[in-house]
Amino acid sequence: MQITHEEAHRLIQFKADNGLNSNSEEKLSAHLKVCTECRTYADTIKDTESVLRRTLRKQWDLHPLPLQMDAIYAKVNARGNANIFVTTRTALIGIAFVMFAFITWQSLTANNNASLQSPLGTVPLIPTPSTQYTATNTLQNDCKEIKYIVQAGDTLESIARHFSASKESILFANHLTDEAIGPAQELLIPFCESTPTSTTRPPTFTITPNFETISNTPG
Amino acid sequence: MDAIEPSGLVSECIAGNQAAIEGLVRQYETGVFKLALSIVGDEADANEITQETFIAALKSLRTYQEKKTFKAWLYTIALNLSRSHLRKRKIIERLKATVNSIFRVETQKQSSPEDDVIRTEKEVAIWTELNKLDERHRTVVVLRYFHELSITDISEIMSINEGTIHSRLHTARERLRDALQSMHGE
Repeated sequence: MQITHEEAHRLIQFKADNGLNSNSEEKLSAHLKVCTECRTYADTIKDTESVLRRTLRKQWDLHPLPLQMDAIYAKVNARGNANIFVTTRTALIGIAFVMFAFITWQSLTANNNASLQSPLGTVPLIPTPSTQYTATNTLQNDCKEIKYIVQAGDTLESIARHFSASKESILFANHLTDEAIGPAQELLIPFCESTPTSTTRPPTFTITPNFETISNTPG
Repeated sequence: MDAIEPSGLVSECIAGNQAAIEGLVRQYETGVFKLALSIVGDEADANEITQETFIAALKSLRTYQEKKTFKAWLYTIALNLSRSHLRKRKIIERLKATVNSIFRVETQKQSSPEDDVIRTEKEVAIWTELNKLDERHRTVVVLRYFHELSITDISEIMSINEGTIHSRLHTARERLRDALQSMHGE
C-alpha cells in the first residue's frame, strides 16, 4: 500500500525515536525506494541528529567534582534538624498565639463585665482570690451583676452590706424568696455604678482613680 | 533504563548502610551532573544541583516506589531542581536587565567557555537554534540526544505521555533541520 509524502515524513520522524513497528517500517522502506524527496528528507534528519549529538557532547564534555560524602551526610542530618527546628518553632508560635488570644479574650470579657471601669478603660477589675466573686452580666445603664460565692458565716445582710446593695435586690436577682443562704452557694449581686449606697467599697476591687471618686461620692 | 538496578542497594541505603549510600552516589553522580549541566548550562551550578539532588533523594528514599526505575526517579529530582534553579536565575537576570536599563549600565557580553567549545559552522547553527527552542522542547531534545534516553524513560522522568514527547521531538527536529538547511542555502 502506498503512503503519502506527509505520512512518510511522519514515519521518518517516528523512526528517529525508535517508534516504528515492522509493518510501518516496511511501508516506509517501500516508499523511500521510489521517492527521492523523502530520501533526502530522511538523510537531512539523520544529519541533524548526528550534528546535534556531536554538538551536545562537545558542549558539555565536563565531569562533576566528586561529591564529598561527609558534606552530604552532614547536610542530610542538618536538614533533618532544621526540620525539627521549624516544627518546634511553629508549635511555639502556635502556643503563643493561643495564649495571646486567650489573654485578649479574658481581658475583653473582664472589661465588658467589670462593674467599675477605670477612666483609662484598660485596667480590668481583677478579683483577688479571697473575694471569690467575678464580674458577670451587664444590666441596663451602669448596673451590673457580680457573682459571689457564699462563705461560711455569711448572711444575706452581711453580703448586702459588703457590696452596698439591698437585701431585696439580691433576693430578686437570684429569684429567692427567703433569706436562707448556705456556704458555696452562688449569688448574683446587682450593683449599680451610679447609685452607690454607701462609702463602703468592695475591698477587693483594683483601686482606680475613678473608683475612688465614685466611692467617695455620697449616693 | 539501566542494566544495574539497585533495588537491593536502595533498601541498604534506607537501612543506613554508608557504603551502599556511597555506592549509589558514585554510580549516578556523573549522570545527574550531566543532566543538571545540560539544563542550567553552568558547571558550578550543576555541581551544586548534583549535591542537592542526592541530599533530596537520600532524605526521601523511603518514598521511592519501584513503579519508576531508580534512575528515572533520581533524574526527576535532578530535573526539577535544575528547572527551579533556571527559573530563579531567569528572574534574577530579568531584574538585572531592568536595573541596567533604568541606570543605563553598559555591559559587555563576556564570552563564556560555552562559546569557545563549538567549532564547526553546522554545530554553531544547531547550538544557536537549540537555544532558541523553548525549555519544554529543549529539555526533551537534551534528554534524547545528550543523555540518549528512550522515549519511555523521558516520559517517566518528565511525567509526560509518550505521544507528547514524540510530538515535541518532531517539532524540535524540524526546526533544527531547517536551521541547518537554511545555512546550506545561504
